Amino acid sequence: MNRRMRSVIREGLLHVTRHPLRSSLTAFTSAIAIAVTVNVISLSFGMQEDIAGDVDLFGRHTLDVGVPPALAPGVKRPSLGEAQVERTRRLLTGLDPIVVPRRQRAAPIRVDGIDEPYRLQVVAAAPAYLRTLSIPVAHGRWLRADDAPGSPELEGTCCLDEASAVRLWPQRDPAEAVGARLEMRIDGVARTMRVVGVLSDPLRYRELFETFDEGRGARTLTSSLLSFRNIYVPAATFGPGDYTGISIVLPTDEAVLEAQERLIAVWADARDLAALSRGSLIVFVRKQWMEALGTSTMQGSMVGNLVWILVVLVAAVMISTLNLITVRERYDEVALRRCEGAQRRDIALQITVEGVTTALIGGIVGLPIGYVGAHVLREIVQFPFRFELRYAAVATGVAILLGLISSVIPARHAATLQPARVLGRRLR
Amino acid sequence: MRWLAVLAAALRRLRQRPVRTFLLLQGTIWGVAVAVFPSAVIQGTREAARQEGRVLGADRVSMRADTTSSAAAVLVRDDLRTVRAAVREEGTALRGLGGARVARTVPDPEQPGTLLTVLECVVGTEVARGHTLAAGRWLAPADGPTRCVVEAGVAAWLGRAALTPGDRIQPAGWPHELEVVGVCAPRPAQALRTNDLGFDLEHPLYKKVGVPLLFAMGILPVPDDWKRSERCVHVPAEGTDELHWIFLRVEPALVGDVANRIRDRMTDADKSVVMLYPLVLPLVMGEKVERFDAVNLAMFLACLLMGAVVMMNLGLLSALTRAREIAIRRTEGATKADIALQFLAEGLMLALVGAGLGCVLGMGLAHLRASLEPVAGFTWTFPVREALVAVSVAVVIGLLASLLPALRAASQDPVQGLADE
Repeated sequence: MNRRMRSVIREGLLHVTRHPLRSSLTAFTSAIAIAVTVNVISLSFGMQEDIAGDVDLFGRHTLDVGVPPALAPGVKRPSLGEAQVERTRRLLTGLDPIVVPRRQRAAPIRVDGIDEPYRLQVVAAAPAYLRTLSIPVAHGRWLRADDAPGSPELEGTCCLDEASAVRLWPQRDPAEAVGARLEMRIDGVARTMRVVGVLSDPLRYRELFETFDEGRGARTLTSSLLSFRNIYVPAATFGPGDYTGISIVLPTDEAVLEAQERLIAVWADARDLAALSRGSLIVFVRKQWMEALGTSTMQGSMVGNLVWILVVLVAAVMISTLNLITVRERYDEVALRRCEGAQRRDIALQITVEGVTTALIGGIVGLPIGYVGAHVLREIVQFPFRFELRYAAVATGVAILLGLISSVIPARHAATLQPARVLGRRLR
Repeated sequence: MRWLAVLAAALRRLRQRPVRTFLLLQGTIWGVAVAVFPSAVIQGTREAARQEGRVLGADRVSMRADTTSSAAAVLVRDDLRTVRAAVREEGTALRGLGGARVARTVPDPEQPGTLLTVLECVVGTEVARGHTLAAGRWLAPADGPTRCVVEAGVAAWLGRAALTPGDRIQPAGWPHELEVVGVCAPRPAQALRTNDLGFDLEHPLYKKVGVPLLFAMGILPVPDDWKRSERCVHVPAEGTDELHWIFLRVEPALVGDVANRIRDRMTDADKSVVMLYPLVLPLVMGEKVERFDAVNLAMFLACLLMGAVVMMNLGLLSALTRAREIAIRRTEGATKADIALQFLAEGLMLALVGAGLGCVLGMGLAHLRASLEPVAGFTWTFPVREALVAVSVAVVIGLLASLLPALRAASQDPVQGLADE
């Protein structure tokens, strides 16, 4: 950097300190804008990243074949038995699939010390069902082939989702559910089941999700599977009868695509209303669902991003106007500096340095304000704010950008000033 | 009079540089807009749900058996008792309860895809489905299998100009003739494009935003065109116990709670069911939505604070640049208080103008937000109380912001102000 440049920058910084009140007020405006930016970014980016991480656990490589969620008038429920399981296996020959049929129903569950039963979904499937989820077992173990199915006479074995364990024993740590007993009523007959394992909860924002989950009543049992508030029991617990779904897990993304194509050629895509009306079995690709979830979350956080962009723009417009007015006040100074030999770009640089410095100082002050604000809002709104250094870096970048944007017009204005005209008028 | 003159002078000053004034008012404008716009949407939608609940289906819950359950997926008349008990558990008033079996669908040979639907109903189903009567009466317990109540579009489907009580019809394939005892009033267009989940099916964003959102929520599309066809014939359910659908109506704000309560009770009775009800309106009508108030308040204050700081900065600046004007006014006899008053008046004017423009912008945002929502009944209204509060806060903050400049202007020495020149 040459001497001239240094002197221009020094001049700019000097001006910032020459009017401390004015500079600090401008910096304060920028601080508020940055505080809002920090807040919104740590909410929308943080949540979006967390959810993207969560949905991976739902089974990126899993497809389901199932009974349609509703039938058009006069259409019969399609059957889903051994024949369909066999057909699925045949259709997927060569793709190395794991095919696990399941039965499911909702049942009231009672535990000691609680009067009102909780209604949870009971899923009866072979031990391989765990492979269709990507969720780790948090406590105890998963079901084994030699586990006892529940029957009215014999104590059975079951595994729980963490949310189910928390629901049934709110006072206890989910780990303590292992070894506990619960009573499950099916067809009016109570069966005792012993918990052998608890799956970890893939929904990081369960509380938030359940608070605003207005659609839970409208979901079928199959869709509710992915709310992960289930009880898993050995396949033989429900006895014979139709299956309600087949979960299929494949080794690769390509295999999922291929399997999807082969299955939809025979049965209907879950999103295809016309096919549903014909009463066909449906194919539900979890990856598509995860993508829809991702898109919806992104649409949601887009609103958040619009908010901080708007706030920063508003701040930029106001600071820019203010800087413009300040420049008018400094016509004499600018004209004199031009006479001393300063070039247009020197003047523009000086004004820009002033603007960026003020905005940056404001931005740095705004970071902790935003951080504290996020925590206060987290307490009040119970929204999951997550603050990281990366977000602080983004916000600092935004502050510099804010300074640049708000200096463009004033800097141009000052640089195009005619020194002779200004000073001439002055001397007259 | 003097006050008025000061205010008029302040307003004149603002008008000298309208663009600059407008730009500097951004903080106040957006702050007030952010404060009034959510209330506008929430209040407007709540009012619409309350007043037009029946038309919008905001008060309706439909229940069907969950086909994806291993438990017997059949609803029967006895289940109506479970539903009634579940609704009344918390003292909720039932506005209507009914159930129907879709006994027959008759395709129109001339218009493929258009069906006439014969519903075998328990008494009260027409009301539970949200119908009102145009002529005649509803089905009564004593009515035999030869009586029917028709929806408004049945006449046209049968190729008749109109149906009146006493007319006789026989849908194709139905074993005997039916005597019409009642004719339902035609439902408004909005009702015919609103599905059980409260979504406006013809909204431009329904397919792009609504359907993917529902899919993400785990709710798949359901073939239920017949419900909105206006071509249903209600006949008494005789000799059949099975029901495909159970319908009920309750206070719009309670539909979600009631639906989930019924679902629990049905589970206890070993039946898995799916409840369909407007998803968004109960959320807007409930208290949960007020959780967002803190966020709105924070945004409001942030924008307003930015606006105030900029106004204060501008005030300080103009106190300097207007030193000469102030000095002349002082020599003309204006007191310090007069000068301070003039600056305060300018601040007041700025805040008022900004707040007014903010209200207008807020309504614009509310209109935009409401029009982007594919939910029937999502609308806005002017929230008088919230707007008054927002404007008052903006004015107070504006006045506070001009206090420092006013004091500084008043304390300037007139001699110094003139000597500088």
